Amino acid sequence: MARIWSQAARNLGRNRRRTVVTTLALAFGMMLCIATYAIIDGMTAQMLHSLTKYDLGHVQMHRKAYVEETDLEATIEDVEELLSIASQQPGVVGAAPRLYGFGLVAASGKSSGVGLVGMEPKREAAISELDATFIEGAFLANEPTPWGRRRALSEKEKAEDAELTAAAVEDALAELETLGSIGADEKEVAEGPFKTPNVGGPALDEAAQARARDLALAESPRPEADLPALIGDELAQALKVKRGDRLFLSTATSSGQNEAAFVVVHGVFSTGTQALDRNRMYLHILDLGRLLAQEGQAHEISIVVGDVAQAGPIAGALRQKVHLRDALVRPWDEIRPEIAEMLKMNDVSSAIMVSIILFVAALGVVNTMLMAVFERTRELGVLKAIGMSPFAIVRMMMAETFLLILLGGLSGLALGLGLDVYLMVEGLDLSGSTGGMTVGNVGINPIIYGVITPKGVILPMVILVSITMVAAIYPAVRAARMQPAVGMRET
Amino acid sequence: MKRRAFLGAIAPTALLASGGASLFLLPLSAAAARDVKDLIRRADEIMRGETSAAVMSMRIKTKSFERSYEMVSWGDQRGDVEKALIKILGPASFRGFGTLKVGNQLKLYDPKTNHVQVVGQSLLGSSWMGSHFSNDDLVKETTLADDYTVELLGERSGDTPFGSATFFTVALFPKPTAPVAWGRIEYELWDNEKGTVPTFAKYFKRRDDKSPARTMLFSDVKKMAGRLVPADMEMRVADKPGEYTKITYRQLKLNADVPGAKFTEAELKR
Repeated sequence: MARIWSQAARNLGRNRRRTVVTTLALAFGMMLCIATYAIIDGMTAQMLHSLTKYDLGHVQMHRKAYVEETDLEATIEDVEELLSIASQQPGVVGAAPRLYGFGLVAASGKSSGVGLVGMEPKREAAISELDATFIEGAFLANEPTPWGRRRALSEKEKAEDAELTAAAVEDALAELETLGSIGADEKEVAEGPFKTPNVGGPALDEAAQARARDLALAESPRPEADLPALIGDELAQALKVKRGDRLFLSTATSSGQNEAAFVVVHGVFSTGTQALDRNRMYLHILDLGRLLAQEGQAHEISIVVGDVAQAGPIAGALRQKVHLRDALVRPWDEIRPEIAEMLKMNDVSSAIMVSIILFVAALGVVNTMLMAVFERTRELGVLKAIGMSPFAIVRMMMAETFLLILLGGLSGLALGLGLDVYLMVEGLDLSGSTGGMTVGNVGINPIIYGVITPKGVILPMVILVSITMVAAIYPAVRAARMQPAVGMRET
Repeated sequence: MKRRAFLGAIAPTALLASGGASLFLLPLSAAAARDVKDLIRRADEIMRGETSAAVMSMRIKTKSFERSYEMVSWGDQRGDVEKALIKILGPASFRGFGTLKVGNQLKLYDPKTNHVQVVGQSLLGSSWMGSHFSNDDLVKETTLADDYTVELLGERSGDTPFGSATFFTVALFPKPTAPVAWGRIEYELWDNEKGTVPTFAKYFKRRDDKSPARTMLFSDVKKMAGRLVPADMEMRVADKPGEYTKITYRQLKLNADVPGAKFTEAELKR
């Protein structure tokens, strides 16, 4: 057995220059393949990271009605219980509740619609990297804004309120009665001084007004300070605001009651994902909950796991444990299937690309082996004449090929890993002059850092060996089928 | 020709006096009832330089809540632009809310934050005070006579609480250049010597639609401000079955000397 290999090695040594050139071609192809995998895997990891680190998390829990009908009333009520179930699940790193809403923010004449996100700063910081993206200000404090408690009016208060309303209606009716008709002096009335003493609605006395205010405050209490809010840099730019500026936020509860509050910009973040940077406003979950009359509730529980590959199984396990009404527990790839598909496509296309590179390299090997066969026509003729079987000749040629691939493959591996290390440390800057980069609406870091995975190293090796060995069958068979007499006649 | 906005529907000038409200039909003069087109134009013209004042309630029923407001509204057509002010009188959590329309600018006032919000483009589509009317409905101005061509669909005699009358069914089609949201409006009104009163109006998204996107029902005809007026107006939206917004007039004054200073930010915030 050993003789085959030593023979193969000796044969390769006969034309060293050719062997070196072929080896280099293989090594170069191999290096490129390994580096390609490092970049593609790096890109996938980065995209997944970008996708999940600020917003999505790896697994999310909702109520079905919220996801399917955007029914803002479909909140999770036993938030704490679900959070504890989630965080006790092995493999889970953290879980945080979120409450969503829509609102309109306005500042100095500029306004913009925003998605409101209520979050719990402490838990959010454990699952999100938002806190690392601030260009101004900082993450929210753990404590919500002090705020009176919302309560329904008692029967007595309701009656009192109805009386106030009735009084106001009476006043308004009385005011209507005081109006004269537009007569001959129409013009004067239209342009003249403001004559009627009691214009402008209800003239409740001061005590009644104070009481009315109390009743209104009971039903929708006001915060004791402006609510701290986080916004993205693009929104900040659109509204021309910076840290410390005051914004007017108007929204409506799920039951259609208009609510409004002043918020103060506490921090400005920049994630690179436009959906977040342009259209989001983060508030403390209790602040938003009180504003929307959904205190203590959440629409979403976002969960981050240690190993992204485990997101599916963990979602499955949680699904069994959560007994929420119409619960929907989904891993990231079910929430954003288009991104999951895209990543899968990446995998397939990179395998195709690697195969093409290696196929070209393999052609070089076939060429080398064919040359070797032609060069050694006489020698092979003699070997056959003295009784070497065709099979032994095939074996000999294949061993030579294999040795050549091994030489090329291993040096390619060494070079490839070297390049990988460079890519891991330095990264590959794809930004060009543009700076930012988004893929599938997810902002990603334009500098791709390589990732070495077993697959990224073993797969090119396996593809190289199998393509080349298959390709080498042709020269080997050609050598084996040679007629000894014909071969020996060659000079 | 003056354009009439829907806010006028709530501030009742448009509903009653003008005949020009984008969503509403107006009482028409009996004498000219047969020449419908002429009637519509006359109805528009009746309105010039008029004012309105009303106390009313609005009842809103949706899938998730049911509530009602008491409101007072003021309207003024005398100047170059249409003006209207609505203040909510109760209940507690809505008391003091104000809406001021001057021309096509809409401002909302929330006493809880003491802040006046100018309604921008992005907010035009959203609901006004939780009702089935959008802010856009309040601002949009159209004129029946200018923006629609009129076609008489049918005519019959019938009984009303105010004696027998002729019922007209009319179809309105927007002119190509008209800034209107509807493809066709169908309405019915009756007419006799006591007055001209609408009974329903149906608003179709497209000209050929079979079922209306919105339906406005008029009922409880009363004598107010010297004419017959449907005190109840109920709006139903086709894609939200069971929901409605209903406006009921308690008192209505037309052509009263409403002071021009009503339509200022100071009054909005009072």
